[in-house]
Amino acid sequence: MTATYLRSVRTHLRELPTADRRRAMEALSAQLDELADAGIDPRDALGEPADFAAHLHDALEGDAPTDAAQWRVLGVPVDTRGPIDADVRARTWDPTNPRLVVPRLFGAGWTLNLGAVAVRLGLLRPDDISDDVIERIPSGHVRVARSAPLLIAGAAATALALSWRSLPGRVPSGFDLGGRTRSRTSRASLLAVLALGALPALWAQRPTSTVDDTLVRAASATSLAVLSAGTVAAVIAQARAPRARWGLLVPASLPLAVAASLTVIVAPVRAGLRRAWSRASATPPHTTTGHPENP
Amino acid sequence: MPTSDRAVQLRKGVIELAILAVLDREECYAIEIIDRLGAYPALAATPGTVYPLLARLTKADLVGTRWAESPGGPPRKYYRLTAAGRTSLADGATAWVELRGAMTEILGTDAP
Repeated sequence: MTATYLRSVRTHLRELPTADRRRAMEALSAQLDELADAGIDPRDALGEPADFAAHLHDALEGDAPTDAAQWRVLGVPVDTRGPIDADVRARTWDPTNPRLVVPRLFGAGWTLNLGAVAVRLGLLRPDDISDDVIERIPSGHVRVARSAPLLIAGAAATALALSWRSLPGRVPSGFDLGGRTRSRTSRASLLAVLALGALPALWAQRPTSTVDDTLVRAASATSLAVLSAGTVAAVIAQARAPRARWGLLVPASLPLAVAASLTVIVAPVRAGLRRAWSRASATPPHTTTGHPENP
Repeated sequence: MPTSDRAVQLRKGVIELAILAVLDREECYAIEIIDRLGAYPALAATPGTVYPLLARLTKADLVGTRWAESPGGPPRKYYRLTAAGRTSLADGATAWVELRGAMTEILGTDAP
């Protein structure tokens, strides 16, 4: 009975981080052994496994910071849930979190919290984003935001297609700090670089349930599309002028990627804010979200 | 502001109740709430703590918001208690008083 109960609780805790789940299961196993020794049915003492697991889940989830990574390897955060979990994606756009750097959505390392960047730049206040603002974001702005990564990836693909025949068989694959060629690889590898921008751009076109997640996807895809386009441009230009320093385009595309992704998400949000503000000034005082009753 | 792990853990649930209590007195914008809490060193909280709590309270419909013109900048978001928030505050206050009495007693008489 103890093993069955334990197994049942474990299946309901699959979403918890591995370390938390293991600790919770070890503690529960010990408690179930004590109950068994006393001849008490765990269902009588703890309730149904699903209900007990829900309590446990709430307690442990409440302790975990919202920007926590799935795992940590030698102190470096590692996560794989970004492409499938909107809550995980939301940490890259969280103006209420003052941390500028949060765990990456997919892979090891860190990425920028664009929400904190927008607050530091004075573009938003930390509590500006709420349902009334999101609801008022013009649909045209959302469409433009979604198409931004596609346009950038498309421009990079067009540039590559137009210059493909003039490229040598082997093209630069790495640059030194001065922007000069350090190593070379097959021309076909440029297709993989292109895909790094194009695939997220296509992923950003998929319908999502919320406007904010649509914008977060578009912003993430835009940053990757800019990095991909910057690298493709650097390789094409360097292949044409081998003595030049076009490799510098690659590091230059990093701040450009941040600026582009920030624009993709902040511009629509500010449009929604402006609409919320103008509505507030056009309506009598104390028109609120929620159901306030104070005068 | 308390810095020990124990104080931080004890404060976690209390700050939310304190925010409801601040808003029960008057409508405030976020910085005002942080300032009001800061008047009590044990309750002083950073924006990184207060903003997510305000978002959660708003989502739970315990707090309502409205935009209002501000003298030197864009409109500010003001927070106020909803009916559900007032009920939650009353429940929380009752629970707090019971908890405080029990803890005072157990710490004062039974602690070694």
